[in-house]
Amino acid sequence: MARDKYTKKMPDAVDYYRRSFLKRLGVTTAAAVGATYAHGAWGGKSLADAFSDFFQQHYQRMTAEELQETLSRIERKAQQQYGTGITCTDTPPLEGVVFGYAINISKCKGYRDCVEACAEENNLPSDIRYIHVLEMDEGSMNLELADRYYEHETVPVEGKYYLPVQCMQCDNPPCVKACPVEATWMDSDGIVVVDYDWCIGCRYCMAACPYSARFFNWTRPDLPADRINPDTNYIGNRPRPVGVVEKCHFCTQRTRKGRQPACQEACPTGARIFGNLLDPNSEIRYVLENKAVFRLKEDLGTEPKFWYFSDR
Amino acid sequence: MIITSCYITSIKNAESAEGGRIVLRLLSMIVAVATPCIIGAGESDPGQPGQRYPEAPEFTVQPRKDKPKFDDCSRCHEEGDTDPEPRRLKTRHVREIDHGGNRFWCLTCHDGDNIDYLRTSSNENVDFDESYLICGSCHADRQKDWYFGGHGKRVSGWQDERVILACTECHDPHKPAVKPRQPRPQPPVRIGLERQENHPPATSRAWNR
Amino acid sequence: MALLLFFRDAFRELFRGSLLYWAWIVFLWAIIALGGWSYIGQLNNGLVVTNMSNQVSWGFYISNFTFLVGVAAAAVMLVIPAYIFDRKDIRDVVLLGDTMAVTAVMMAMLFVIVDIGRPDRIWHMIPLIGRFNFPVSLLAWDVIVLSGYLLLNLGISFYLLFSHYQGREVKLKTYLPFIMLAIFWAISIHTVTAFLYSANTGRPFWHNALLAPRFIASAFCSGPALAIIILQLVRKLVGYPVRQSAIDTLRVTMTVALQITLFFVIADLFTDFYFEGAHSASSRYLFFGLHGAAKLTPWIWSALALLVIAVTILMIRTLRRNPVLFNIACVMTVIGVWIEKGMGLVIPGYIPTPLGEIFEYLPNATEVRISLAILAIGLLTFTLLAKVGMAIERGQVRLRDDIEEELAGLTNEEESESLKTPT
Repeated sequence: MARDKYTKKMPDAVDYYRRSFLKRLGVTTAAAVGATYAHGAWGGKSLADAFSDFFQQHYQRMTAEELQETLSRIERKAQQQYGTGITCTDTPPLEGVVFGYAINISKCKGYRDCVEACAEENNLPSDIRYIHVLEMDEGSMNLELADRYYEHETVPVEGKYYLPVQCMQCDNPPCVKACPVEATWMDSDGIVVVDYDWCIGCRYCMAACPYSARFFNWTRPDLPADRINPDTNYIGNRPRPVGVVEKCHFCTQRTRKGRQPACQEACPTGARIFGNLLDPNSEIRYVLENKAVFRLKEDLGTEPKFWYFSDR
Repeated sequence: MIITSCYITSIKNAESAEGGRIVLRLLSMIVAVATPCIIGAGESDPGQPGQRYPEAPEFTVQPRKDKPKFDDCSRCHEEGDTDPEPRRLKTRHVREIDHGGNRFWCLTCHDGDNIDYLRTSSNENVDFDESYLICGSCHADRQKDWYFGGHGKRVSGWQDERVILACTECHDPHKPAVKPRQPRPQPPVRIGLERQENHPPATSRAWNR
Repeated sequence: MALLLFFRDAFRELFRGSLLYWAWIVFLWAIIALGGWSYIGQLNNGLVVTNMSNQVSWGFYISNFTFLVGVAAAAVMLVIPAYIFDRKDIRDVVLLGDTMAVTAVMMAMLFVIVDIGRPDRIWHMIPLIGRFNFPVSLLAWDVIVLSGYLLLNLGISFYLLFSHYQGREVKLKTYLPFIMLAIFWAISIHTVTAFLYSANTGRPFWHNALLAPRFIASAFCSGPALAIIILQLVRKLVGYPVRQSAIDTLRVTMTVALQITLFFVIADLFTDFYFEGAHSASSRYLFFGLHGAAKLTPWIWSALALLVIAVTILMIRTLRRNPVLFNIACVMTVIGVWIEKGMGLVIPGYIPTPLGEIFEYLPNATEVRISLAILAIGLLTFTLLAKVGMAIERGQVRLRDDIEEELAGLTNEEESESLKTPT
């Protein structure tokens, strides 16, 4: 459904031209490659897969068959590159849903359970963590005094409070404006997603993001086979290629099936409240309407769908 | 002229807003104090989950009674043999009650006549799995948040059935403050780079620490 | 036919040169090979071989890109006097300015290509086949203006050279519209590049309306300074006629631009430091260091010192009349702007991060090697283009009057030439 909305943007003639052009290129080279299924080179992929990778269409422009082909190719590549079987599905946004998140900062104790659960769920390489838990000085909201690398015997530490920051899924996302190739966009459920196979890795979105919420794969993700979460989707937690940008996507592989994001599930204090902003009876709406909430850097006009509030 | 009148109106607005806020605050205090009494006065069907806020979204509480750490009190206590006199208890009881600033003792919450139950401040009998009704006797604001999802934790998915944790899942009623714990590891920096120690000294005057 | 001959003759011209010329070419190729080797490593392993991080996600490559766009834009400082003020002396050397612009744009593009994580997906930018986020993305704008500028300058240069090659008088009327377009286009490339930065509301160091004016002002320092150096070199090494009046005009431009640049620096410093707040943190990091992190302070103070000394030399007549001092001032300006519009602009935008983290950055050897290779590619391109251009301009490479005769004698000539070389 969402797919139709986007494909419609292109005039049919242009679309036909583009498709036939790509198909011709594809057929020509595929014929040249022949039926040989050479392994080893092409980054551990077969030549045919490497070839299809190169000419892969933008997610929003793929037909249903092309998408299926791509998904099975992703599964094949994971087997070849990481030696583990995964399932990769397509998870279009749900109708009538816009996701929002609220964190009760008086309940956050800085345990970082969310950080690690997120990393496991989303197949994050060892040097990327989507959630920054900032240790803040009481009586101040000065981010410059925040410490992300705190290490203590036990937390919370007296005189400190904890401010978890992740992608705010801005409703006016500067990163989406920045992208020169439309590899990142906001879906109808308000989640800003990335097509990892379309991103060219220019990192302009990282410069544009006011929340340090975007991360680059400086090298091929180091994922040990036994730690890969095999339950993946295209737009979310599948293993990423080298040289592309990724970010928190509110666990689309879970939340678009009605589940909670991994960080909410992991939070031992119940500080995280996730839900549908369009549902007036949802917990998130209760928080927005009954608590004194604030958003980070609201003055920038990014309209985050991520709130903070306090019990105290 | 126009500017002045605008100015006056805005002052008026501010005043009335302030007044409104005070009224609201008073009202909420009254509600908070009165809630248990009102329900107690009703005497109807004490301790039906969800009854405090019928407009709250439906929920079920993840049961705790069947967990192994729960003892059946009636294994030792027979009906009517509980001594209501506050005193220091020996044997298998909780030694210390770090809750309520020393004003509490067992029968503040436990029902001495029916030891497998709890009792609210307005004398309702409450099952252990409905302990939130007890907590709400004092923590009415928090209880309201809990009913509506602003406090507590939802363990089911974000849509459809709403399963939430009871207060006692996180807060030991005898010592409700959440205990400090070791945090998970420090976040990494990029492969091949080293962490840089450029942390600023804690100040921004609160107040000069 | 004439076109083919043009390319043949131009190509031949490249292989005519002194020992110094060949040594220079071989030297450049050696650097290119060295950097190319590093680049292959970067392609294989990813950008992990650089010092960039999620905190400082653009580094030395994009710094150089930014500086070079300025150099390219500054070619307009030769074009404007040459055509608007109708200065014959400058029109004689304007082709060298165009060549400089072409080279600088090409190098800038190369710096972007080595910086991106997936150069294999560059086709995603091609409109229709790929998806080009124009006009929303400033990066898309930059691609348009840079490639447009490249084509425009290549086109104008080619038209001039091809006409001269054929011995035809160029008709100003035919190409003046393109010249006018190129003048505006030149301003646009550096403005758009400045907007690329100032578009980011989350980075107060860049989010500054003065950024674009500062870019233009500093480009008009470094560009003319570089042009002065190149013109003098060409005059000295090749004996190409460059009139002193052309250099003097560039000098005046550069002096004024330097004065304005320094004034802008002061305006920014005042705004940042009179009442210092969170938005001044990057400036504090750059100029004074932040919480013990101060890797960039030596760079920026060197840059400011170089620019101040340069402008002093240029403003005092007795000093600037000394050719050594004058050239030193030009070199100082180029280096000063390179720091100020390169590392001094890009890196502090990332420090502290939007979440207050201070994570420093300096380029590593790989980044320097790859950047040097791009510099060598640029110098090589300039050398080759300028060599052909100058040869045509001086009439050394010309289409023979009688093409038929030329074509008939083609084979013989080649034979005779190949016979000649061993002797």
